[in-house]
Amino acid sequence: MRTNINFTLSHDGIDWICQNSIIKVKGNNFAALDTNLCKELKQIPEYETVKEVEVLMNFDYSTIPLWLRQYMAHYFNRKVTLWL
Amino acid sequence: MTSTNKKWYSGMLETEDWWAVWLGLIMFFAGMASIWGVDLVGWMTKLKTWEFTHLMADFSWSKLLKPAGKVYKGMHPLLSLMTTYGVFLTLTMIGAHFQKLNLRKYFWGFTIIFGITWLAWIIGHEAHFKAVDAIVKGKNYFEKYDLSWGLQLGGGFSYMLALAFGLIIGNFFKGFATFLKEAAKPEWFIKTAIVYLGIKLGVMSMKATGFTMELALAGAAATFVAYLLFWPIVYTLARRVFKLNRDASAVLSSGISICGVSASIATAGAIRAKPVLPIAVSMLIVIFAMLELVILPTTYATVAPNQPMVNGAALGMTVKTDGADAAAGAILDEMMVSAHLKKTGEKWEEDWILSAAVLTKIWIDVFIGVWAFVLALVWVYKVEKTPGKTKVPLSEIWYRFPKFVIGYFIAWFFYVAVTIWFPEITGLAKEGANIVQSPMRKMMFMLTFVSIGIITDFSKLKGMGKLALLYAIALFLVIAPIAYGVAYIFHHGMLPPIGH
Repeated sequence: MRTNINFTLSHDGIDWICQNSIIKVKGNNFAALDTNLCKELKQIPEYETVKEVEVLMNFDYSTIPLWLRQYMAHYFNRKVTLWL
Repeated sequence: MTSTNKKWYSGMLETEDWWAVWLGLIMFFAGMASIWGVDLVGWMTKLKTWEFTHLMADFSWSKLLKPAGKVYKGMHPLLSLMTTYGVFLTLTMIGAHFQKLNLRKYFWGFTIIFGITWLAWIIGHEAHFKAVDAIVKGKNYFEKYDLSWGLQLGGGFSYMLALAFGLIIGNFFKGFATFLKEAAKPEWFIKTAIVYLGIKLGVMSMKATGFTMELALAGAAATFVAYLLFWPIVYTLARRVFKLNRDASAVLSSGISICGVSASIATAGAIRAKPVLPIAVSMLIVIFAMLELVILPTTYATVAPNQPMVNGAALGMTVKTDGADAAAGAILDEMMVSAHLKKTGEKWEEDWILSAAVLTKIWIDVFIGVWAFVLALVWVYKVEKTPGKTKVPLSEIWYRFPKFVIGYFIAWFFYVAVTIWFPEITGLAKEGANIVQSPMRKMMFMLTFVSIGIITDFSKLKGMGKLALLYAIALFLVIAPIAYGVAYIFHHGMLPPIGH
């Protein structure tokens, strides 16, 4: 079974952080973030039977300094497929 | 509160880029009301050339300022100025509200920046600074005021003064600069001004269609130079000579080669670099853009006084950030038009040199989304090697597209369409359009000059030795000479039409 899930993505200076109303996961790089996210998802009963998730991480642009936002209004949205 | 781009219309009310479109088009269509005989923009204040001793002998505000529209002829100049302040404060405050800025800070910041802007603008119109010893529109202000000396800088002195005021605040009164930063939005102001410039291009297209098209196509060619020539050279320099890592090299190459801060953020996002990287690079770009803005117009005007369009287009390829490029173009335009008038008594029409600088830059800006998309694919397939796992959504191109360009082209093509399809109302349309594209646009330029100075802090260069050195080498030894050569190929011999 395959499902979609959305997160907000940000960076705290050390780690990437992806979160929604249920989950918050950190990782020093994207590989670590994805691994930690998989672990976290497996612990949620809703995802017990799910084999594959399509994850969309929308970067939270409000974490970019205010003075810089006038130059460009978008950082990136990350779309990734994870196999649980 | 978070801010993410999820839908195609995300940011339409929250970003400066979109607000430049709204402010630009509101004023454009308000100006077009003159078609029906309604003057909705004539309250805008216009500057007059004045002379100090004449003014002091019999002071009157009407010697300094006047409303731009004929309908408002009887309006007191100060009331005109207060109306200008009130209208732009209100409109930008609405924008600031949706952009979630601190409105109290914005109100005071804008009020002070507006005051500094008009002070610089009025001083810059003093005859000793501005007047050129030649007949313009039937008048020779040099003779009228019986001047014994004069800098003869045209409107360029106002721009330089505004920039100097901003830089003094930004570098010597840093606490005050921080207070003003909420309203110091050079990119917002300049993008709005560029939408107004679209109207000017509409007016110019009707006067010299072939020339305008040639200008636009040559600008398109500059795009290939920026992306396919500058970028690989600077990237190779960064990797091979300066031994920077792949991410830093890519972000810096885009910043230096393409369109400055917006390109460095777009590239960093495309390759999913940590946000601290484009933030550091952007500080560097903003400072270098200021140096380019100060050095290049004077250099080009001095070295090649007979190549106005080459100089303008070369600026468009060399000066990074839209604000600094348009500002440099405006200074160059004023300097070259004044110098040519002084030398020959012949007045080139204003704003063609500026338009060469801006059009070239806009072409480069437009493709940053596509370039970032290509880089994202390269990083996924060749660098990270995660195809299948990571996908690059096509929507990323749209999110990175500079939206103010839409306003610029709407204003341009709408004005051209009106004058082609309804030639009998061209005169009426021009009345309102001229107010928006001239005094209103120039005010937005002046606000940009003050703001860009306020946000430029040269002390931020400390600790950026290696990056700063790479930037300087790439800029002065690679980009500036190649840009000038390319601009020369496309524009040499092109001269602005003769004005009146």
